[in-house]
Amino acid sequence: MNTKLSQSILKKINQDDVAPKSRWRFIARRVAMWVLVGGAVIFGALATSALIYVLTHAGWQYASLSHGSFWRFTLETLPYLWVLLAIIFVGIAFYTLQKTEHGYRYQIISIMLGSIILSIALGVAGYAVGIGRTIDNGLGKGIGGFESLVEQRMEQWSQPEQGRLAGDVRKVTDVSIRIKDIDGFLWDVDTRQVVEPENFLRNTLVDRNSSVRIFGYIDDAFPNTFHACVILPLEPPRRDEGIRLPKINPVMQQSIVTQSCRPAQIR
Amino acid sequence: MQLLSETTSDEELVVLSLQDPAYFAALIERYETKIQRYLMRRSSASHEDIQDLLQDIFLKAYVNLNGFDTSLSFSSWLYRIAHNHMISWYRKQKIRTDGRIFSINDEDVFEHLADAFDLEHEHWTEVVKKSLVGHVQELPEKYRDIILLRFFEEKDYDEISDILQIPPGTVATRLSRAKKRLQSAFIEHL
Repeated sequence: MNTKLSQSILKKINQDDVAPKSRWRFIARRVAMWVLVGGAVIFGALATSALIYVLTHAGWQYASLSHGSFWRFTLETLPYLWVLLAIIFVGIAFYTLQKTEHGYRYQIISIMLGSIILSIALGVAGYAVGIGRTIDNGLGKGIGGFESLVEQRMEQWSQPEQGRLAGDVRKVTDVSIRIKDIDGFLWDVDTRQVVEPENFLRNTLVDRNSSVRIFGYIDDAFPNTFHACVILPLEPPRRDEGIRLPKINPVMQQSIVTQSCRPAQIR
Repeated sequence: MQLLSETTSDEELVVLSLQDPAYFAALIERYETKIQRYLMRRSSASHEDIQDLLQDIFLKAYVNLNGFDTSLSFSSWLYRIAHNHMISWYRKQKIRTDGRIFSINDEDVFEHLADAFDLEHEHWTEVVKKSLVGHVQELPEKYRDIILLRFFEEKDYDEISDILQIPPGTVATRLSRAKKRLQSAFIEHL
């Protein structure tokens, strides 16, 4: 026998034509939540892979030479945008995971660590297959105002008075190269004193149309001539290119600072 | 309309209710008293308000029947709706959800509590019982909810987790803290 409450509820259902919400609405909501979780994890992983790419190839080994101090180098090269995006997407993944149907069953710390570990793991995988590089370069070319690692380097290394020069190679000879810097200025770069010349030539670091960064000094007598001590590719070499970047020891560092490349003492 | 027996499960009734709302009456009858008692223990709403809340809760359950998560028991799902609806009703009223929890005449409740704390409740005086009522009601809301669902509604940890939408581990932690608080309060008055 129906109780008073059930009778009144059934009456209301019939009178007001109350009907259960469609099953698809609930399915769509669940799917949307998981799409959001998946999207946040994927974008978080993409940001992480770009972050790993920039951090790995920032040029830590040349930090004191290029920026004077490790901290200044860190502050200037830290990829703030990628750090911020990685945090935002991991945060969205964490928040939406909690809001999924059974998300409440897991401890917050487990969900947080899960989101972070998943994004980092996928980020490392993405970096390993070159996604980090593609994203960083692609965004640098596609979005005005965003500086990719390569663009940032070009700017940071365009300080010839401080012993750093960057530009696109226009001409290559046995003893010199000609490069065009960020301001369109042409430089003749003397390569006779370059460290590990066979390595730099063998690996065709310097080729027409490639971009390079150079440690060296301006010639006192010819202001458009630059003496190169170390030549590095502007863009970090890919693993399969087999390029070994020269190591700069304290003796070499000193010789660059004192504007006299002395490769003989480096070996 | 199909004949129903007591062995017809809640889940079967949900499926039948989606085909014919008349079956929903059976679910209402199964849970009406339990939910009403829960609301009365958990809230200080008037009898009329409780009736309104009950009606709203069952209507809400009916409207959302297709969203019933079959990995939960219907009971947990309905208690969750009741709990959330009551909280949002209180927020709209802008009053605290103090609740009555139980009265000193509620012997079953004292028996449950005595079992939980390994105490002999037969010797409890009315003063002790009154102080106990006071102590439970003074507990922060998050502890009161757990005590209420565990000892009065006799829900297990997973069910409480599903009703309050918190991890089972948190249920255990809160229950342990609530028991510690109550135990120290008992000792003072025994």
